[in-house]
This record gives sequence, structure tokens and C-alpha cells, in this order.
Amino acid sequence: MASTINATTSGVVTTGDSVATLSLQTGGTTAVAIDTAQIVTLSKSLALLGSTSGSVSIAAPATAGTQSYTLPTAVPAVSGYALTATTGGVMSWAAASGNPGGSTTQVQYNNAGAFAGSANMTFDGTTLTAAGFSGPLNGTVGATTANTGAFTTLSASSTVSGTGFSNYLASPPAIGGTAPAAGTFTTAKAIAAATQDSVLLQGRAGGTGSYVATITPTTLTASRTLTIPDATGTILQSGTAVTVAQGGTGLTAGTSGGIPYYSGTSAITSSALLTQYGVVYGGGAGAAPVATAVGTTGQFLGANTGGAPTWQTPSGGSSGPTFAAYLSSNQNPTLSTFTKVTLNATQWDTASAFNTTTNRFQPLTAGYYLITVQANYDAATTVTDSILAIYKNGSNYSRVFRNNLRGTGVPSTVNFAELISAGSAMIYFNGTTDYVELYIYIVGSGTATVYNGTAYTTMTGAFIRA
Amino acid sequence: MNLYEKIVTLYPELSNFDFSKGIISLQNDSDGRGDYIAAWNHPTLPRPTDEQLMALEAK
Repeated sequence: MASTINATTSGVVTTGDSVATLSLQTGGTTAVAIDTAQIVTLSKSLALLGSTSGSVSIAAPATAGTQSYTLPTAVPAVSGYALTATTGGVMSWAAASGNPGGSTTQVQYNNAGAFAGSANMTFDGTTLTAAGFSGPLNGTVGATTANTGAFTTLSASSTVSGTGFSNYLASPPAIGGTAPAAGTFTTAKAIAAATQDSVLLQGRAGGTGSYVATITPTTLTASRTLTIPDATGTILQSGTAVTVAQGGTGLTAGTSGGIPYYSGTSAITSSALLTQYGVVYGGGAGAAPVATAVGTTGQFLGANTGGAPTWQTPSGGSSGPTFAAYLSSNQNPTLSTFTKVTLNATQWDTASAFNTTTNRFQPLTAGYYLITVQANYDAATTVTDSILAIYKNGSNYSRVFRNNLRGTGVPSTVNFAELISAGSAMIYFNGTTDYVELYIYIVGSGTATVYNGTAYTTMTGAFIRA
Repeated sequence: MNLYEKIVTLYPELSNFDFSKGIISLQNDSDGRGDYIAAWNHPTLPRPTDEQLMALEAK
């Protein structure tokens, strides 16, 4: 059907044909068509005129295909939202976003104008990991265990900043850059005084896994300096004795009062307890040094028959014991009976060796002694025979004097009235059990008497030699 | 009577020689125990018994 509309008259254009399409043509070409489904088709584009000037056109692609878009149901809730659409063409307002490059956890970087990711730089929300550094500083940031040739752990407690590095490096190198030139370091890196601070040293090749050696200072009361010697070697081993080769003794314990000695060419052993005041002398190859016994006043250090040093008492001189004992009250011995003279007092007794109760001289210094005895005695009527004897250990040792008037050729009428007898003997004492006593034997009649006094009845003695 | 006197009473043939030379040795250690026979080495005379000596004590 063809119709003509008066351009100057408003009205309604209808078509009575239920299948017909209403078309508007210009220049013989359809510009607008409205079909029976009330779909309006524009042949070119839709131009919206500005209220003042200009226009905005909406046009379909040259090869448009069949597409349908449905506008959002409302204006954007937030300024800056972008218009997005489903695959069905249903549009809505949403925040603007782009698609990340790489894989999950990979940090995005500009790869020629596009987002990209790399396994060398990841962040899982907790740990930032970086690898692929150039140069010798290859490693992992944030790892708990250092990799070979890598950084050690950097944690929140180990603050590292550019300023801090500058304090210790004249020309601080960039991390991941080249090694600093010789002489760059001006001061050793200081470590904060926090207790957890330490220096970790990567174990040498051949060790187990990624074990590290940790150097941690103890609580310090002053700055300390450790100087490493200009030599190669192991200087310390913790938990075991420092060996002789390392400058130690190799001992974990010793004997109190003992001394360490070489029991082998490279082994040190602790000797047994050495006597206080003893003189130490060698024990020979592999044997422990020993000490002499304790000396006593006046002794000197000599040698025994084997050559070992030993304390000895000097021979003679004034250092040996000496004594002078005497009878302090008269004594009446039984006639014809060897009777011990009760020497019960002393004039001197330098070694306290004379017992005035047992009347014995018993020195504790072994050696040879000169013993002299003297007795002044008589009997009430006559004295015809008398003997002065030194007893050693309870037995007659030496009869040092005798007066016998009943020998051949002596008249029986001759008698003694009073006698003083004296004699001496050289006697060896063992220094422990040996002792001597004075005995007198008087033959006569009447009561015999031995007179007291330092001038009358005595026993004296002196050490002569060992 | 002391021990010496008892013995010479028992054996009058004994002389001072026997006592002074130690054939028979009488001793007193001045310790309160008195005289005693320290040695009896006489070749023919037997050592007197305690009973013999006690008997002489009663005289």
C-alpha cells in the first residue's frame, strides 16, 4: 500500500494490512521500517541532536549480525561504573576491571602494555617470594631457610633499610647488583642487641640440606673482639674437649690437686692428687708425675738408692734429737738383780723422745745415736761388784761399765764404799719402736742406793747420723 | 727375803758369776711388779718353781 502524508498536517498513519510493514522512504530508499511486531528498524544510524547544536549517533557495525542489548534497569549506583553485558546482551553497571596475567599468586607487571605474571615473583597473601635475581645475590625473600648463595631470612625483626646500609658501607651496593669493590666496607655490620639477633652462616657444600651455623653473642658487659688467625684450621668444638692439636688439653675433667701431663705424644692425662707441700718429680715416659712425702723441719731433699728425691735428715749437726735425763730421787735397787734406773726427769729433750714415766729414750728419727750413761751408787755395807748396762728393747744391749772386786788376785777384804760408773754406746734406732733404758746391777750387802741428781745418775744421747 | 736370796737359798752352790754373766738373770723393771727371773740358763740346776719360791716366802 502506498500513502501520502501531508507534511503540514499532523495525523496518524495506519495500515490495515496485518502483515504489512510500515516504511518511510527517502529518495526511493527505506530509511525507517516498522513491522507488525512494533520493531523499528533504522537503515543507517540513530542521530540524537544536541539541544543547542551537534548530534550523537548510534550506529550498528557494517556487518552487524543479529544482536540484542538490554539496557540496565537503573542508573549506576557509584560514579565511574562501567557498562557491562552478559552473553545475552543484558547490560548492567559494574566497577571497571581488567583480566590479570600469569597464574594465581603471581605479581602483575607491565609486559609491553599488558598485564603479565611470573613465577619468579609471587605473593600468596603472606609471603612475598622473589627469584631470578641477577648476580650473586640470587635468593628468596621471606623464606625461612636460605638457599644456596641466597639471602638469609629477612623478617620483621630484622629491619634493613637503605639508611642502615649506608651507615656501614661507604658505597652500599644495590641488592641484586654487583659485589662491592674491595675496601668498600668501612665498618663491620652491627647487629641489633635484640636477643633473637644472630648471624647465620650457610653450611659448606657436602653438608646436609640447607643447615646453617648460627653465631649468637651472649649477654655482654662490654664490647668484645674476636680476631680470626691468619691460618686455616678448626679452632673450637662445642660440646667436647678441645684437643691437644687445637691448643687444648683434650680433658673433660681432672683430679683436684693433680696436674695434667703427657701420657702419650699427643694425649694429656690428669695425674693423681699430689700431696700438699710435696715436691713433684717426673714419673718417666707415659707415667704421671708424683710428689714426695711431706718433709719435716730440718730435713733436706736428697735421693734414695733408686735416685728418687726424698726428704732426709741431715747427719750430725744440731738438727738431730738430743736429750739429757736424770734420776730425780734416790732409788734402792734389789741386790744382784738388774734393776731399771728410774730416770724420771730431763734437762733437755729436743725431740720429746724421752719418756719420764717409762724411763725410756725412744726417738722418732731413725739413725745412729751416741748414748752415754752414768750412775752414782753404793750399798749400806759393801759393794763387791756392779754393772751398768744399757738395755735396748727390753734386753741387755751393752754393759758399759763393771767393777768386780771378786776376781782372781783381789783380796776378799777389799770392798767399794761408793762408786760412780759411766760408759757409752753407739746405738741404732729405727725411728719407730726402738728404745733404750739404763739398768744397774749391784752386788754387796745392805741396802743399795742409786743417788739422784744431774751430776750423779744420768742418761744422755744425741743423734749422730742417719 | 728377795728373789735373789730365795734362789741362793735353794741353790747355795750358785755364785755371783752365775748372776752377773746372765746364766741366771734376775731383773726388776721398776714398774711395781717387783723382781722376776728374766733368764734361767743354768746347765744343771732347774729353774725354781713358783711353789718353791712361795714356800721360801713363808719362812
